Amino acid sequence: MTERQPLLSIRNLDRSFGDVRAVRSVSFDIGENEFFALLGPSGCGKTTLLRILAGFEQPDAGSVTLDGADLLSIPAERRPVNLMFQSYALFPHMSVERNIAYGLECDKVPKNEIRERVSEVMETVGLTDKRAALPNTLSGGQRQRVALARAIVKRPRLLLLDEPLSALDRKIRAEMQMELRRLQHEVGTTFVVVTHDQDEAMSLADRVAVMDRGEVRQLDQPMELYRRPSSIFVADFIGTSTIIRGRRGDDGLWHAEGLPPLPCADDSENALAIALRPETIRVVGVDDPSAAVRGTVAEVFFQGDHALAEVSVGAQSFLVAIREGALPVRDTSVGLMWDADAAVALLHE
Amino acid sequence: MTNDSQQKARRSANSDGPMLRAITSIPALGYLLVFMAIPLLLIISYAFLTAGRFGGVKPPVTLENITRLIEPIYRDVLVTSVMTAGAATLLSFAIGFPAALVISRLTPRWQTIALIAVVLPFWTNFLIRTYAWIVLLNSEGLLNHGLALIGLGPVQVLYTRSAVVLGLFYAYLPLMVLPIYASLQRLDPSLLEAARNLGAGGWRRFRTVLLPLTMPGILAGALFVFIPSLGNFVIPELLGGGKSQMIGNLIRDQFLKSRDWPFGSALSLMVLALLMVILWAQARAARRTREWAG
Repeated sequence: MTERQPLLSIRNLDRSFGDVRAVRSVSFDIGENEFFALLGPSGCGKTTLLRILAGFEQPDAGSVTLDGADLLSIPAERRPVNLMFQSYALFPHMSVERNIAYGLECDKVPKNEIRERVSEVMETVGLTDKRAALPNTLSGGQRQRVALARAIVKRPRLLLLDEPLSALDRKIRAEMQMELRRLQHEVGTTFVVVTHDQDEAMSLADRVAVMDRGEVRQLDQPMELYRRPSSIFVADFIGTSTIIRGRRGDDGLWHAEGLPPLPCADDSENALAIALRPETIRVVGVDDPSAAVRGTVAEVFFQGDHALAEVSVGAQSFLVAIREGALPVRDTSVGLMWDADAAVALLHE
Repeated sequence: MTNDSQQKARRSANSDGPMLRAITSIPALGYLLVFMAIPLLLIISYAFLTAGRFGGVKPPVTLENITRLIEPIYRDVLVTSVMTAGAATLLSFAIGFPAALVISRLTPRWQTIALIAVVLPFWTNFLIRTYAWIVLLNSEGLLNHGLALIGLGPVQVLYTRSAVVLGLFYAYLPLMVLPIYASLQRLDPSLLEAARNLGAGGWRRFRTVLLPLTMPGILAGALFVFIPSLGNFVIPELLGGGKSQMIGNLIRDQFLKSRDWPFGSALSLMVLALLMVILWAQARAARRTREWAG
């Protein structure tokens, strides 16, 4: 991040619906040209936050500034913020071209300029041959392109995308994912994606804010989030982890109920649990003296390029990724080992 | 269900279908025959016969009833009727659309209550409701008392065309509100948000999104108000004081007073032709909106 003033600045934002605090004291900054993601399970407040930024909701407290100016006092229709709706919300009675031109017509842009900019953006998203088509004659992927074109043609300071890939087939998703990144570089706008899908957030965004019950739990680059989750929630929500509650002993090992002392180099104070990513754990022979724990293979899930084995050690189960060699057999005993610095201490719930 | 078994199910439905369908459609067909086809044929044949002395019809066959329709006096009655029914329809839209919009934005519980309130007048007798307007509008009525309190009036509304328009509007308003409400219910609220997000103010959102997308409901409501208003003869008589005759009164008079059944039939056919043109136009518009939905 540069030292410049951030594009968008959110401070102590609060919003309740009845007894439910949908957004609670949320604060963060988004930089110019950043690809930012709000990630969280449904009901975590990410959609409310998005609607506040778009102007469809007003917060109970807090401030939002865009380019240093108060955003909340600007009515939704005059904000330099455009939203791509999850349902796309294309106008069914207007052609692709008229859908895209709508926002420019609202701004009373001269007719020939509208024509130019609409053609240009239709080319960017590859819709030139669908100019006169009605939205319902298009495929899901094409509709999404129209929705995207309609939002970017206004050249907003901030482009909000609500679950942009969730309605698409797996194959088109991957395509669109790359397209969104390309587009973001091309149009040079700040993108904010709201999603419950970690793959979507991790692969698209420069930085991800993980939200839970109205709060931002962790805000970091995707790789950092994956490698260094700060809470049990984030470690559990992002990727797959084996989470072992317990406490750190004076011997420098991790003590958990029903397990032998476990290697853990992370000596953070007051850790509640440690997390192990599946790819950091190795399966060894049950008699191997280097094994940290010994258990029984409960289940093996084949995933294509790797397999995931669930190994039960007492009441605790370990998830282990196996990339090469023979797959462990169900109900056999195995040993598990990992490097002491692969274990991440989790300080919060 | 697999594709194959689905096809089988469809085939079996078809094989025992014709018999069953024939039996179940007898009541409907019978109804249409007795209450629509036969009366319609009677009206059509009467329109080309000569009037009997005390009602009824007799030969010879003539075109005279049809040619009389273009006489200015009858043409004027038709124009007046269309204008009156049109005014009632416009007024119903002007009040009914905002009402439907407000209702569609209430919580489900209040929506139910509001909808019951809308149809509640239908539970009381039509004549009593119309008489109530006489009480409200007459020179000693609530309207003029109210105006007198603020030093205005009295105004003569009762027994004018305005009273007829008001009465028709009041009688058929629910028929405007309900279909519009139904189309508002079907409207995806994110479309209005999208329009707003793209920079459209209230008026533009109404004109470019709300209005075109609820047009099927508006057209249906307009027909439900316009058609019974056009042929109505009770309200013009009670609230118009017989001074503003509408086509319905004229037709009734031909049958019951002038005893000129053939001419009454010709007038009825004229109204029918007009309504068919309107229904055709509405069907065309409805087809276009179905294209949007795919």
